[in-house]
Amino acid sequence: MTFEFLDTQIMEPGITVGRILITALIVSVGVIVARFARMIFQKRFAPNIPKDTAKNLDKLIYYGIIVIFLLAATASQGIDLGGLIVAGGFLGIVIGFASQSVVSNLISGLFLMIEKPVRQGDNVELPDSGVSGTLIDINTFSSRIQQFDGTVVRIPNEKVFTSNIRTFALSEIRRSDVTVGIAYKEDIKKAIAVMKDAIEKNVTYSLMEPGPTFWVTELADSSVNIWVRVWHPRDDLAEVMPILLAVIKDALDKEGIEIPFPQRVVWKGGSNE
Amino acid sequence: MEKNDYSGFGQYNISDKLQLILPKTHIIIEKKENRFSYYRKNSEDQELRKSVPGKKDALQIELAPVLPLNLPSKKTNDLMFLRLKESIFIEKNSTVDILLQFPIEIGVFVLNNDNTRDFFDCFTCEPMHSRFALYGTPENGNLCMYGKVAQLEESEKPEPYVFAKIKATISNQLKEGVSIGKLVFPVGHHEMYYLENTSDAHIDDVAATVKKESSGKIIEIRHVDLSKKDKKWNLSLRLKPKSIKEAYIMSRGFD
Repeated sequence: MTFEFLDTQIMEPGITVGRILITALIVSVGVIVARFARMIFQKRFAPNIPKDTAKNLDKLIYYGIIVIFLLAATASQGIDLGGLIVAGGFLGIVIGFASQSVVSNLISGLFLMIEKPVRQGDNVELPDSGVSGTLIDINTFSSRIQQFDGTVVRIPNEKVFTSNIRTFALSEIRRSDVTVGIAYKEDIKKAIAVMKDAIEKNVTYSLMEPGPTFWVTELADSSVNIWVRVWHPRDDLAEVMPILLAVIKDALDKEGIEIPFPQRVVWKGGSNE
Repeated sequence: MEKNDYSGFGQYNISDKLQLILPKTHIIIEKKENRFSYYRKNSEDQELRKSVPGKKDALQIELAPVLPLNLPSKKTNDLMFLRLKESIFIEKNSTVDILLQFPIEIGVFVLNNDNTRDFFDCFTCEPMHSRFALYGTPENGNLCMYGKVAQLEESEKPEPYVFAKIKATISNQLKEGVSIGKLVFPVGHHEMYYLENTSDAHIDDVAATVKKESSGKIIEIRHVDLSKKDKKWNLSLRLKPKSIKEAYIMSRGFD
């Protein structure tokens, strides 16, 4: 018969080529069902739940269905995975030692998904790694952060999990600070009023309430330094910082308020002095 | 430019050229060979040029007030923060009706052959109104669109193309008088109305109740349909779907 080879026994008694093929077929059906379920989930349910939760559920549904089909297939075909587990146990120890960091990244990834210290789309900064940008996704072994210059940095999950993470996600606004120096002869109150007016008029994303605040922080060598603190929507740093100092300088220039540059008086010592 | 010389809200049929004069804003729509060109310039000399190809004979547009939620960008969950130029004192156990200015943006819509309207452009005649504020603390406050507004007399008209009118009915259920310096509420459920060929605009009303809860004094603000609505008022097109009608609790102060 043409299909006699299907009864050929391989490995232990009872496991034939036919059974293995049927198992593979059932698992293939499982993959198709998983893809179908994933498609329905993505279209119907994912848009209504947070992005990162949707992505995690998506993975859970996809791989969960495949695993269920795999277990069902092996059970129905009488394939006992016990032997494989025993064999795999020893192999696992060997692989485990060899792949500590891989497993560590995997576990860290799981914890990142469960604890959610950051979410997809958040602007984050990892000071230890010198990376800042938008978190694109947390994958099985690594996370990807798109930096503000457009480049994407892939960071192992373990590093993300054990790093200090700076994020603005919990607040709808954030603050940006700059320091401006004015000459000692200038009227501080007038300078502050000029800067406040200019910021409110020209820095569109600066909040009106709480408005900009001004602290005289230092009587420095050449100038009276004023710390300017501006609140703005958390994702609009790029709308504020590039123009903030320019707006302040223009306003001070128009009002004739001097921004001094460092000056030093040098006395030339004489032999008689 | 005199206030009376400004163009009015409403529909315009353009077969050759149309100039719209608004405060600090100038719009020219002109027919070219196979298209209509659109040019807008504001007081800060910022220019916008757009083109409507495929319209050979005439172009119909509508100029209408819209909710001030779009400029400089949409990011406020429809919350509006009205800072009152003069705070209002409400006596204990009393209710007052007040009229307030309400900042608006101007929408330009293109009318289609099947009488539907498509959004085309949105701008403000007062750039200082496209500003944000936070209601609450930086840790847990809500980002809002901001407007500094004054109380209006019944017969008083607000600044054309800059403000609409809003009626607020404020009830003080406390056993003491209160001063109110700001009102914060979502406007996603509010409709905007205008009178044809004028600059008159009105938004749905609000009802505010000052009361005491375990967290302290609060104001509960609810949406109310425009009370003086009649056939003369045209409904403006919305730029985003109407949100769910729900009361907003001002629990983080109102002075």
